[in-house]
Amino acid sequence: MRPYIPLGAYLALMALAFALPEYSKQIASIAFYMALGQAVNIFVGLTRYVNFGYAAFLGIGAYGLGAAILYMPQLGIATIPIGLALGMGLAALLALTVGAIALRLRGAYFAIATIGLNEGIKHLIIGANIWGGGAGLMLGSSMFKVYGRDLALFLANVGSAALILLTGLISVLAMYFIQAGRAGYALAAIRQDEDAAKVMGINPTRYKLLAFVTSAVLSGLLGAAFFSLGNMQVFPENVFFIDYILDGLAVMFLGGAGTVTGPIVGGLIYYGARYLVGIYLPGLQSLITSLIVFLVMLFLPNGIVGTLNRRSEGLRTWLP
Amino acid sequence: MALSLQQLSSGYGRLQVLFGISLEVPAKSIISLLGPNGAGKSTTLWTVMGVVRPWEGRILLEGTDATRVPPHRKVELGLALVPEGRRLFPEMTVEENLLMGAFTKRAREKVHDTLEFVYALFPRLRERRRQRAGTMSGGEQQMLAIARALMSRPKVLLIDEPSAGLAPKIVSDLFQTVKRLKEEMSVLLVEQNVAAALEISDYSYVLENGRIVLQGRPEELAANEHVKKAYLGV
Repeated sequence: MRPYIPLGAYLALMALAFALPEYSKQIASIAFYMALGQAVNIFVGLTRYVNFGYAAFLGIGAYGLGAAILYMPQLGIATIPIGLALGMGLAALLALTVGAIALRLRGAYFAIATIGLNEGIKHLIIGANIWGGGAGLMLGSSMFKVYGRDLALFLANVGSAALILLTGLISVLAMYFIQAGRAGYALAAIRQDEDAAKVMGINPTRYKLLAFVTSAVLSGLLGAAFFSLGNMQVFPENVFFIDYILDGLAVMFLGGAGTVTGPIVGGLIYYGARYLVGIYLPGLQSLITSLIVFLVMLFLPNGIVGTLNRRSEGLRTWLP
Repeated sequence: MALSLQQLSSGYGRLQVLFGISLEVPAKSIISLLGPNGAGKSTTLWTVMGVVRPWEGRILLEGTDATRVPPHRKVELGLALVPEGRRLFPEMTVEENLLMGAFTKRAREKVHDTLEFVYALFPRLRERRRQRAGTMSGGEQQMLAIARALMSRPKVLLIDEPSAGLAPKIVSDLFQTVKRLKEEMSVLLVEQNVAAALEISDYSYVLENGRIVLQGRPEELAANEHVKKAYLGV
């Protein structure tokens, strides 16, 4: 596996966001789907388990950065690294806690166990009135005050796009390093036959947890980059939004589960499809998600890149 | 004693399958566990591995209690299972399957020696080592399943129904190879092919409805009226 093409794609888009700041919002929107599919892929692609509570990690990451900006303004620009670390740390903690228990369950049982995760955290924040409760966090004025107007706008536009793209890039690297090592073999065995893997001396929970936490941390980073930095606000109803897992799965399956080039291709097509439907059949964007997933599952179960890369050794190496 | 089960009970959910079974596997011996479909033979092996959780009773591995040890740790301690139906990793090559067998730290340190050992035992696997496991014949897949379990350098090898679906000639070759393993380890062999199993066993147990109903040396069992009628068809 040579991950240069997917890594290059993210770097090129990043350069584009800096060169054409007026288009950075569009780049961020496309990149969001790519990075979402990429982060979902680390768990779903490597384990073939589905986590329906996935949006919780986007949300918790967004709240980490949001809380740092709003409640620690005295830290100045350091609120960004600290807030990102806080968001990713909280996502990791949540994933470790939930995963250590729920990942002992098998496929479908795990998926069912995670359904409540997203709603649970959302209602905890609203109900217990934590971090602004139902009203959410409005970060705009705080960001203007702490960073200055120009820097705040630059961060919200170019900074957000670049950070989303960075999330995608780190996801490619994470996938590469997990697959290159023993964990990659262990996960391949678990995907093919989990009980057989156990009697090889593999502890499945440990490797599933590795993929789960890695995916959660990157989702946390993505949530912080997209919602807190990009939109300058965090609303519980927006971030703990169950549709994001469906978007992530659609992008991943469209491109090819388990491939790292797949989410880039999938994200691009998915964004394009939603954009066109938004123009010609406004209001029906969510309908095409299910249509895409349905058609891909029927006709292209390995996704676009997954199908291509079964064709030849060269494609497998260069479009991993 | 390499492995002993004492009053072991287990099952799935609320369904009890094993009702206090006791058996012993001495060092460097082949012990067979015989019986009809649904008697609990496979459940016994999965319970010994810890994939199915024991309800009651004890599992002793070389005299040490291993009842609650999780499966991956059991492999490290020297137990290995060749599951019924082979359960290979079909997308991996022959050699990758073998390397998966040497996943534990203890096995990894000697992986090259062990690989030579299993290739010498099954030369066919060396010829096929770049082939995908799922594309091989039934007999070759069974060889690979046994070889993969051997890669963990077990002290006790559990083999579940190796003869299933194989031609008599292949079964007899395979059993001759299993017999040679006795020099290095103990084998607990689960079989429905009672005649073939008795031929290579040092001692056998008959399991029916989750209970051991008979046990003895192969010649004793072969002479037993119940065994003759129910299992040997004579």
